[in-house]
Amino acid sequence: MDRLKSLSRKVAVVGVGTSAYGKFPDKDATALGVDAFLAALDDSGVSRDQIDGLVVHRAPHIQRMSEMLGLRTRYMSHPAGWGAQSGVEVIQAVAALEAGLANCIALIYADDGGSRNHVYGGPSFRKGPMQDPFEPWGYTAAVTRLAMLYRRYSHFYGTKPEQLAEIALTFRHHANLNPAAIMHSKTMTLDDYWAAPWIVEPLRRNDCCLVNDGAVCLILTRKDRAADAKKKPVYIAGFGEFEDFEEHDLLWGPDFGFSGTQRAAKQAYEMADVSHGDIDLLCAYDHFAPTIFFQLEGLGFCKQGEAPDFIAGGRIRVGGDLPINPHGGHLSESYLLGWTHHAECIRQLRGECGARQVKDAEIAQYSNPGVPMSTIIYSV
Amino acid sequence: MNDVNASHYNLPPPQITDQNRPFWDGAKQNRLMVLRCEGCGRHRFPPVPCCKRCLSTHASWTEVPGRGTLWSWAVIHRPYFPGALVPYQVAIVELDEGPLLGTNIINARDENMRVGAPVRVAFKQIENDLTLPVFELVD
Repeated sequence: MDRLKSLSRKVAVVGVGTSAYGKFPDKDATALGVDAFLAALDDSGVSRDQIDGLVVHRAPHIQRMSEMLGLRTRYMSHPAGWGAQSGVEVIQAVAALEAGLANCIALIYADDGGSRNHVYGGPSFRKGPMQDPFEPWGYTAAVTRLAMLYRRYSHFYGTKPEQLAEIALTFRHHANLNPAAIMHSKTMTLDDYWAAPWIVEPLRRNDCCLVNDGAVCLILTRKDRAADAKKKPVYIAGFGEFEDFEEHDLLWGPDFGFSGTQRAAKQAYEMADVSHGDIDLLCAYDHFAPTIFFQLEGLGFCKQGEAPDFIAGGRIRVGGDLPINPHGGHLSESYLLGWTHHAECIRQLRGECGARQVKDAEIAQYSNPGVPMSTIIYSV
Repeated sequence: MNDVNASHYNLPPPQITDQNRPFWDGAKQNRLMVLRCEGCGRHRFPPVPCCKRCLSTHASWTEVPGRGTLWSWAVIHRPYFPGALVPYQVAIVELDEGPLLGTNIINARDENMRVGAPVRVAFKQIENDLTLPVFELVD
C-alpha cells in the first residue's frame, strides 16, 4: 500500500473534452475523437507538442488518430473495445506518468456505434462456440446477462420493480438538467417507464443504455506540470482494480460482482485516505440499471441487498446524500463506455455543471462493475 | 410466450466443433454430457481447455443425471437473431455437479418459475440432426 499511496494525488486531469452526443452518420469514430481531443486541448491549455502519450479506446485506428493529430509520442496504448476499460486506462496512465514513460497523456474514446446501428446481441455478437456456451438456447445480448443476474438478485432481496425504476427515473431527471444529454428534452414519468416495452424481461427499455456516437478525451499530466493548466487540476487520489472472471460468460457469477468490487474499492479508499462519507458524488457505470445496485453494495455504501432501499427518497438525486450520475449516465446522457462518467467527475469537481452541479463537490468517485472491476477517486 | 417447438424459435443452430461435439452427440442419445477434470474431479461446462481449479488439461466427457436447480431465467422480447420467434424464455440451471448450463425450461407455468426450483433434464428433438437438452421443473 505504501507504493500505491506514493502515487496518490501525483497525477492530475488537466483537460476534458467531449464531442456532441447523438447520431452523426457523416462522421466516423476517428473524426469524433478529433473533436473531443481538440476540445480537451483547448480546455487544458496544454499545447499539442507537450502531449507525448496517446491512448485510443474503441476507435479502430490509433495510428490514423495519431497521424491526423500530428502527435509524436513515446507511450501508446490501444486497448480492446470492451466496456470496463476506461478505469483501467486511467490507472495505467497514472503509473506510466509516474514512471516517466510519458509526461502528458491524451486518452481518447470514440465510437460511432449509434450510426452503425451496433447491436449488442445476435449474429454480430457471436464469439464462437467456446465463448457462447448458452447461445444454442437463444441466450444472446449483454442485456440477457443482466436480466438473468437481476432476476436472481431480486429473488434473494425482494426488490420491487418500482425500486429498479427509480434508477432510470433518477438518471432521466439528471439528463433533463444537462443540455448535452441526448435525453435532455425528454422527461419520463413512472407511467412512461411502465409503458415502455420489455427488452429482456425483467428489464424494460429504460433500464438499458442508449447506443449513440460520441467521443471523450482526457488529458493527464503529473502534478509538477499541472500548475500551468488553464483550469483547476483534478487529482487522481486513489484507484483499485480487480478481475475475477467466471468461465461461463455471466461475468459476475453468483455474488453480482460484490467481492471483486469490494476489493477494488478497499484499495482505492485506503490509497486516497477517504471513506464513504467523504464521497460527494458517484459516477457509476450504468449500461443496465441493476449494475447500480451491485456497485453500491460492492463499493460499501450499503450492505448486500440494501441498495434498493438505499436509493429511495431522492438519495441519489442531485441534492441528495449521494448523487449518482448527475450527467444522466449511460441510460440518459450518452453511452461511451464509462468515459463520460470520468468527464462528469472532473467537471463536477471544477464546479462547471450548472443546473446539475453537486454543491461544494470536492471528491468524486468513478466506478465500473466489471469485469475488470475498477474504481477511481478524483479529488480537487 | 412461445414454447420450445420444432423450430426452436427459428434460432440459428449451435456451432458444433471438435471441442463440444460429444455434448451434442450425447444429447442425440438423450444423455447429458459434461467434462470431468482428470486432475481434480471438477465437472465443467462449457468445454474449455483447462480446469480453472487445478489447470489440468486432461478431462473426459461424463454423463450426468441432469438434476439441478433453476439459477435464473429471462424472457427475450427483442428479436436479436433475424426471424427469431419472440418472446421466448431462456434459462440457466445449476447442475448438482456444479456447472451452470444454458437451457430452456419446458412445460412450466410462469407462477411456478422461481430461482432455486429443482429441475431435471429432458431432451427436445429439433430436427433429425439436433437434439437440445432442455429442463423441466420437478414437482
